[in-house]
Amino acid sequence: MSKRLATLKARLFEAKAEVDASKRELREASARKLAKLSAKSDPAARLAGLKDPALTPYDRDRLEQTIVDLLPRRQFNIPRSLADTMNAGLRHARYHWRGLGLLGLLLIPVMVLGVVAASHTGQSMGTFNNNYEFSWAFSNGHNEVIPVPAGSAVVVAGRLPNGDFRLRYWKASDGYGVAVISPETLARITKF
Amino acid sequence: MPRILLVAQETGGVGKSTLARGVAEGIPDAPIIEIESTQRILEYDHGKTKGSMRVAHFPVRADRASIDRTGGQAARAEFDAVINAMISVTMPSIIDIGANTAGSLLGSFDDEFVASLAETGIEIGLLVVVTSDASALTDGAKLLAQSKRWTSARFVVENKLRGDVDPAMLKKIAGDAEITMLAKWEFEPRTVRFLQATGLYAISGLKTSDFQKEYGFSEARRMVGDLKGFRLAVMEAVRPAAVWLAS
Repeated sequence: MSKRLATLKARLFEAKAEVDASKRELREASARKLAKLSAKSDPAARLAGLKDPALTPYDRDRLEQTIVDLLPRRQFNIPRSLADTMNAGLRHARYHWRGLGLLGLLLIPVMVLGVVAASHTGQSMGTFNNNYEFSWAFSNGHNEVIPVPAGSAVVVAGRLPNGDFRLRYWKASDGYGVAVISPETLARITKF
Repeated sequence: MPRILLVAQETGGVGKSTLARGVAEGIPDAPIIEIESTQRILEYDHGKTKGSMRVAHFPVRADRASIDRTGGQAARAEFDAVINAMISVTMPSIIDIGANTAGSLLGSFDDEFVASLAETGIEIGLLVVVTSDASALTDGAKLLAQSKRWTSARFVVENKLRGDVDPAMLKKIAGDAEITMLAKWEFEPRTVRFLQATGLYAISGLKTSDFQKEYGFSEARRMVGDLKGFRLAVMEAVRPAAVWLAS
């Protein structure tokens, strides 16, 4: 490397170091100012400090947060009567009907998804206490006898009006299979 | 083998002299040739009355109207001294070409001049400054096209002081030239006045205490921070050109 090139590199390095030192000095001075302003208990004094040009944007945000923490929280007023509540609700709906309509539209798919998820979720889960063979009815119409080993999971999907339990079994190729058993049998062959 | 870096743009106010100063900051022994109606780069020889000067000023008196009227003859007649100075350089040199002058000067580089440069072993590099102004982009493209025959290296600095240049357009204009960028800087009026008075030369080594008495501690600290940051940004923007010149 030529001497001139080495000088160039050194001068660039020095310029960068000077900028870093200058930034550090600014940050440190800002931190000192922030500590001084944060020590004041009067929110108005801190508020006036927000205009201090010595603060960096980051420290200004921090000071602002300390002011927010000092101020009393917004209070939620309980309505005096049911009529007041209804009037307030109607007034709110009158002025926000577009937003409320949109919210209603957005809620429809969410609710559908919720109902589908709830109907497909088992009510409880236990384990078989021994090896059994069950005949499972699958949604494609076929029945299949599948052995279930002791300790494997049994999911109770629901209960029929006559009191029998509906068990559910997952088979990767055919989906969910269903078997119906009486409460006595369920109590005898499973542990919950 | 001495190298010469031309810093050029026909359009004025794009930051040519600032970028030339950036190269000068990186290579402190490189002489500067300033082709301008009035000398602007004064800081390097300020107060010096004896010995050789770092900046050689070549006044160009021709204004835009007379250049247009005479098809560039008015300006070309004034370039003899500049061309003589270029042929006789012995060290890496920076040439800051003022507004409305680059097209005429580069147009005067005929085959004989190019052959003379080749004989003396002098290599020429060109740094073109562009901004988002249509005139600066057009003039920049012309200068780069005009210089292809006789430049060893070409550089483009996009100065964002008037906004961003469309990247596709910039790439098309630059061609094989290396592109760098100088971000837009916002200064307080006092900082601008300091920059106008001393360029980049006085920034290195500046301390808050240098301004504190006059402007107060906080403003002085901001001024110093801005000035040092700007100097580094300019030096980074011209880094490829400076490396080429110093190599």
